[in-house]
Amino acid sequence: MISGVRRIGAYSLSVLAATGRACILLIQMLGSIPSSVRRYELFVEQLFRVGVLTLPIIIVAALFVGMVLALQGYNTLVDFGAESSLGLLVALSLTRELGPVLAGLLFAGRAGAALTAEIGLMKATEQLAGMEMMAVDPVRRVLLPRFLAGMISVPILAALFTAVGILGGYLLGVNVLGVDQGVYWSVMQEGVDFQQDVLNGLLKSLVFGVLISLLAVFMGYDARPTPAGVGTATTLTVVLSSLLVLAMDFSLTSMMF
Amino acid sequence: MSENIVTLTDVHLKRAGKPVLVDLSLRIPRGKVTAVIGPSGVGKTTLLELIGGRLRPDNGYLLVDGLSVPDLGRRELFELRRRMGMLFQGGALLSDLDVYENIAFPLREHTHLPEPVLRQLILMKLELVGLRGARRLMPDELSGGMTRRVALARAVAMDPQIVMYDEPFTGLDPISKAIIVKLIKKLNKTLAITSIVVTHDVVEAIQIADFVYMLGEGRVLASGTANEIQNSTRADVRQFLQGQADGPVPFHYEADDYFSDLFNAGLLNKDEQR
Amino acid sequence: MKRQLIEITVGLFVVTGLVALLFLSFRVSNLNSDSVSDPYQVNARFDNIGSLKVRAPVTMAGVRIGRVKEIRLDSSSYQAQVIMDISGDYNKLPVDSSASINTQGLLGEQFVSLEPGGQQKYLKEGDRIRLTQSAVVLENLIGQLLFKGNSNNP
Repeated sequence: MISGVRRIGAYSLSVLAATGRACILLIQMLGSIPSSVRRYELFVEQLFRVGVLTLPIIIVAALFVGMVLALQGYNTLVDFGAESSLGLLVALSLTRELGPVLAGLLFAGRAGAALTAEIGLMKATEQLAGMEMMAVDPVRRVLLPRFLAGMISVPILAALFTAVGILGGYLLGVNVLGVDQGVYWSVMQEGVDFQQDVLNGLLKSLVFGVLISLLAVFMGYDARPTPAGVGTATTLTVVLSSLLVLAMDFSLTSMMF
Repeated sequence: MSENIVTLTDVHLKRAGKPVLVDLSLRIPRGKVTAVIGPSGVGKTTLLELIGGRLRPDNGYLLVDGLSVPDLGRRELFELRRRMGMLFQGGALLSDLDVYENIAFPLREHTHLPEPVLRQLILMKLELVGLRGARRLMPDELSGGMTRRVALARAVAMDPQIVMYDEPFTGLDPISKAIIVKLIKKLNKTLAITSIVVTHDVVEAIQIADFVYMLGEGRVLASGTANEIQNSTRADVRQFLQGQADGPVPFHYEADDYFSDLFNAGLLNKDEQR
Repeated sequence: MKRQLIEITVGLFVVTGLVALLFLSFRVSNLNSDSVSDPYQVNARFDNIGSLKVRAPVTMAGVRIGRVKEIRLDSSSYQAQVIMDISGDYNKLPVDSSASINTQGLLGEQFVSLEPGGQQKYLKEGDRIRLTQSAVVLENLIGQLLFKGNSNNP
């Protein structure tokens, strides 16, 4: 009984300490931005590996999500004779929720895990220690470009996810289910508000981007330098960032809309 | 310009509550090869981490080239590290860069040399370790001995004053060992580099070292020239040099009494809880 | 060579991201039709605005000339006060114009419709439209019909 309580206490303390270390890392990274501006090519390279390489999975997933939304939405709306609102339904679900959240989840699985594994392995093979001994700061040289690239990538991917999803809904709704194409767009324009829906969705995805990238980079940097340690860290990155994305999405939604 | 480039005085260090270094005092002479030998786990690698400023001692003084390492700010420490090279046991080569780019890495980070000059410098270092032909190989295509030679070329890329070797002979075949021995000697002669070799390979250490420290239980057990150490009569030194399983350095890790441990069922719970 | 390829694809990646954002701004949401150029504000009081919402269109003769900026309850008269942004392009609306709240189709969104008056003086910033007609509340209408139907029976 007591030992159970003690275990909970020890666990909470370790989580708290890790959160603290993550915050310190964030501050360290932000602080080294000014002196890293001339190494923008490192950032571009990471943007390629983190952003561009995640693009295919985002596009394919978005297309299917858009089509499923159109199909399910149509079946429900048609009962009320409101199938003309299909465009609005698809667009609102995607801009407000599905775009940012699904892009965030896919990003965590595809890029976040890879980042953690890469950095964790670099630590385990003493590459980070080696850099330090060569008077190169690994936080600035390795972590910062990856963090920034992730932070920028998620909003871009979310915007693309939303746009492609709406097009997917259009493909199915207009071409297969026979919704009028003019109506598909016009109800959308009437109902979707730029600030309220599009900008807020984008803001959400930026928050997710910061969270996932920080978590991924931190987990790798903080991993125990053993094969098992890197494995655990990679799993934790995916699990924790997925949970965090969903939890943050709930609290952001309740604040925004 | 003092004669000793590294000076440790009464250095104390605890890690996870266990003392690793106890009142350690040693001096590393400039421009010489100094070997630090001793069994595994007596704080040899820790010593290198202290000199490189990756760890801070709990107590005592640590001077490198006249600078007190524990008191250096981040910037000064990085400044000092540019004058040091370190050879890690596993090589610590950057796995996403090829051999050429690995050696270019410190140069690109710290200098703004034009590409042709950079190329000449890198090829010179590669020639030194005999791997000029392997410049386009990736780290995972190298053998253990080659990895260490590339790492060595990288460690001296910035023409450091001090090079630290962490177990440079471990896990190598006899030929590769001989090559590394030859290289450490050569680098020490031609570039006038101070070399600190941390190792448990006694034969190689005695071959190359001008001066030898033997560590045990966090302090210096014996020191002297290679010859003096070899002829030492101390039991613990002899045990290590001759490779005897038991002796002053016990075979058993510290534990409770064997008999009572075996038959004391009361301890069962304690073990299972872990 | 490889470096260039990376830079090009990253460039394309960022550009497609921007295109997606533009698409969301102008095709999906109402950013383009949303802004009223050089607006001036007029207000009107209604007994009942039905389900009129902020940002609903303001039209004259079916042409969109502005949008609803703010809706609040006037606590002295217990009327709804509707503040509208009217585009500066339409600055010659007679002061005796009237406003009514109509519905697009039977169940659609509600909007404010202005009917021009006959005076030579024109509405300007801060003016009030005095002649108003409240929203038609469907439930009341149905209620009245039922009531009439009942009273016709002997």
